[in-house]
Amino acid sequence: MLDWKKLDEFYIDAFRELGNIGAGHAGSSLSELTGKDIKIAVPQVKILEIGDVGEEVGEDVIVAGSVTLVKDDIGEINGYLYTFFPEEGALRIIDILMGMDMGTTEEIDEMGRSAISEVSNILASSFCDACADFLDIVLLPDPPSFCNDMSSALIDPILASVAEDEEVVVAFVTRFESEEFGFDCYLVFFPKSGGLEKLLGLLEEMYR
Amino acid sequence: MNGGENPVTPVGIGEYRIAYNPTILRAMGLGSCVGVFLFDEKIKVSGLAHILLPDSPNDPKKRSSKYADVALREMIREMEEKGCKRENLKAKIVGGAQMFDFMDNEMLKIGERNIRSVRSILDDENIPTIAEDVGENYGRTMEAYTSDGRVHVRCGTKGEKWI
Repeated sequence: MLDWKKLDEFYIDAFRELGNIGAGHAGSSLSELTGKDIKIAVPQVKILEIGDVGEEVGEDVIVAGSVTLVKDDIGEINGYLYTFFPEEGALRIIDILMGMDMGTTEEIDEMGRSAISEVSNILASSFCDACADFLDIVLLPDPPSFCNDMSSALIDPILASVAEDEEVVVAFVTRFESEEFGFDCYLVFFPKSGGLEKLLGLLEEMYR
Repeated sequence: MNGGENPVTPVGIGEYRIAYNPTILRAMGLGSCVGVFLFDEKIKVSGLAHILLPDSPNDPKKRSSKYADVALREMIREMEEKGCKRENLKAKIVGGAQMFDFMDNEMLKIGERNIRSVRSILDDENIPTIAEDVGENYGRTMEAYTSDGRVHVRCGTKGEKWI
């Protein structure tokens, strides 16, 4: 098991670099897909106590998005990629993708679900591609599972899986924003603990 | 919020809290997690555990209140230290939903496993469950009133109710 107190500045920097690259690619994809300028907030690497994760993802916020299991081809690195739009933003994304006037979509129907899942899928794939290129590994996303509920409730099964043996989780948090259309989008990657050690190993080989 | 003038104590994932009247204990966004509210109506002391996982591994170093068995047994012990009588304790349980349609198997079943584990521990401890709102596929926020044992459940997408 990892000793988190020993996770020094070196790893945090290396992680941040990984997060940057993943976020950059995902942001470009989102921009291409929507035809809008997308602002990417500086990606953050957070080491969170499990009791604090709810607050981090917005405890009382209803979101639409998806969760995707990502894994490498030899089963060493895996984790969950959680993409979500606070609800108003989800409606605007559907408007954009369906070529409707802004403000048309009022609730998420079957078509809306597909649109959101598709965005998530594209974000997940570009995040995986970028990480894979950077680390020279193969990283593949499973099909996304659509979700539309309280953000903190959606995080539960992910935490149950990544925090089985850990009291803390690592989260790569990226926030995308379109000022023009007033939506934001979050991409959060939670590596599972075994995979995290492997990631650290790869980063160490690259930098040290 | 329904807190009104009463103080509200939030209970984060993997934590438990014990409160005296008139405190309200709140667990936000229960998905596959289970909120277990225990209360002693006679002396108006209550506890709420926000449980993430069903069973603790057989390793004392990994003992943590995120597991149902550890959280419930420790909470019951602490409540007894504060004067609760085992025979007066009653339980209400909320949560344990299946949040996703498809995902790896372990993750799909976690809500159900949490509920099963909580029920069996409460059985072992001889504490009756007098109300519950569990399962299904949506998140819930619960607010538990130490004053009279009522629990308010608000669902993100499905309205609200009292149990």
